[in-house]
Amino acid sequence: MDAIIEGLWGPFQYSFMRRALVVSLLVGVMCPVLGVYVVTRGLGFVGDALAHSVLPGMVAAFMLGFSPFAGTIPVAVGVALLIGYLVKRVGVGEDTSVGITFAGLFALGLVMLTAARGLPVNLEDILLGQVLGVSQTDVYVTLSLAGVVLALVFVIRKELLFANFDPTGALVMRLPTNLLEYTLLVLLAVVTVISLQAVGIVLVVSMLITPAATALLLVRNFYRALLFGVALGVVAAFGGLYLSFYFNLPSGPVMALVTTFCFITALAWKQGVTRFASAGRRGEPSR
Amino acid sequence: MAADGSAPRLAFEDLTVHVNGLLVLDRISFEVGPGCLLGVLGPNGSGKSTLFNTIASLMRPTSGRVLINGRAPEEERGQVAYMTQYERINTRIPMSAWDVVMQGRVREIGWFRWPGRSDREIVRRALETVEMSPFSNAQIAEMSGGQRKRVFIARALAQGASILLLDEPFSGVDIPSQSALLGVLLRLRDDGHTILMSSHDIIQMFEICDDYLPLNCEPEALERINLRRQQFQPPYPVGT
Repeated sequence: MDAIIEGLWGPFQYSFMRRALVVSLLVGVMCPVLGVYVVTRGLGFVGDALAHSVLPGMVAAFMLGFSPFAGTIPVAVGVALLIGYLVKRVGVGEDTSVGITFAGLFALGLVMLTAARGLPVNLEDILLGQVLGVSQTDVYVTLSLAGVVLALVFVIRKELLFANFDPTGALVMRLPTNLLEYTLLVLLAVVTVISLQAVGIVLVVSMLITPAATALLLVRNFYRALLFGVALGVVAAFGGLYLSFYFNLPSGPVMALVTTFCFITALAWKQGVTRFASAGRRGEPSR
Repeated sequence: MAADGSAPRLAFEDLTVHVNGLLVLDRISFEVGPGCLLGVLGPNGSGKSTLFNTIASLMRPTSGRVLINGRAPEEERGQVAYMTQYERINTRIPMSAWDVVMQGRVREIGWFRWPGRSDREIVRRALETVEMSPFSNAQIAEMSGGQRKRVFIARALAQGASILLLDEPFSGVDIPSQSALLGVLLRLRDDGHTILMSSHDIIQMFEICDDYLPLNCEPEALERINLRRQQFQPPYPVGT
């Protein structure tokens, strides 16, 4: 028994692991909450693009000696609003707008990173995340931002769902659909930035999309899918951190792998259940 | 103006609408009262959807105006419900019939509350009215065209709308479902709802509607519609 407790608690004897756990759990909760809206609205690529687009802001923050949040949040929010503007006002296609901003800003970030030598960060940490390196301040900032994001999603949950499901019906009912759309993009930007610490630029989308997609595969009610997605996000954050500690692996990619494993298992389960049900129907005596 | 001096449920006064610079609706004047099933007739591209979009405040008239109960549509919130074609609905979202109808309560529930007992009761009654109670847990994406339309009508009822706009309500609906849907519409008409249905099928509309609003029809079709209107006494004084 002592060995089990020791095994479970062992990693968290270290303060850096406790900080990593808090941030990972917050990411595991926030990403699926927003993820179910993002997946059903078809905005997964926007989340990926936002993650890549913040690189110049992150590098600029490091160059000026600020917290990465100070550089990434304004850039992410600006890019989210820019994408919304290009799609809604200028009439540029969503994938085209995303592609242009994503490639341009990521390239700018890489050039800035190469030009500014001697920064206390390397490209691999930015791309794959370094949750074990988060400071106490990062934990407080993450906690505060997570509180704001979750509170805002709670307040607009019904209206956002209505606008996602039936945009015309929502407009006729005089819901502020444009404001809701921009709010979703801004929330997506903030959640993406928070998640960067845990899983990095490349793998943000795995926490944002995969638990939500897994839940939507299995659950036929939107809000229950949201809660199930949160449970999966927490499992991925917790499991990923443990596995990375005991097997000495990078935590971000391991969390991403846990979410992918959950999705594959859910898919196999669903396919199995569907086949079993259709075989059962074929085997029923005709009436 | 109605016989009792009150304002008509819905009125257009010299309504003119341009879409992308093209004149689509040209000085339409019409009145319709409560308890009327109005067929908006015209070929594809005649402006039926534009008219509905204007009534629903999704488009602004170039000139003229729409009045609901004698007031601007902005002052009559929630009075209009628009049932668009199903293709505009996001079927990636898992939604049961109950969930969809509950959306009709979204404004009354407000930002911070969960649906209360009265909201649930209104939703239950709305589903009952459209005879969809047995399907309240069924997924909207797995329903037939006619069932879906009845669910969206139930949402309009839960919203408390008195004017229902139905864009081609019978397209993609099989014959038995058409008859069930029509039964629901006639009942709502008898309960005092004003229902506008668009269609390019004049024959079908002649069998169903109380009155007709022709839009950009061919002279021959227009003559038939006017003849039909002369033969029929609408339930409410109307005029073009």
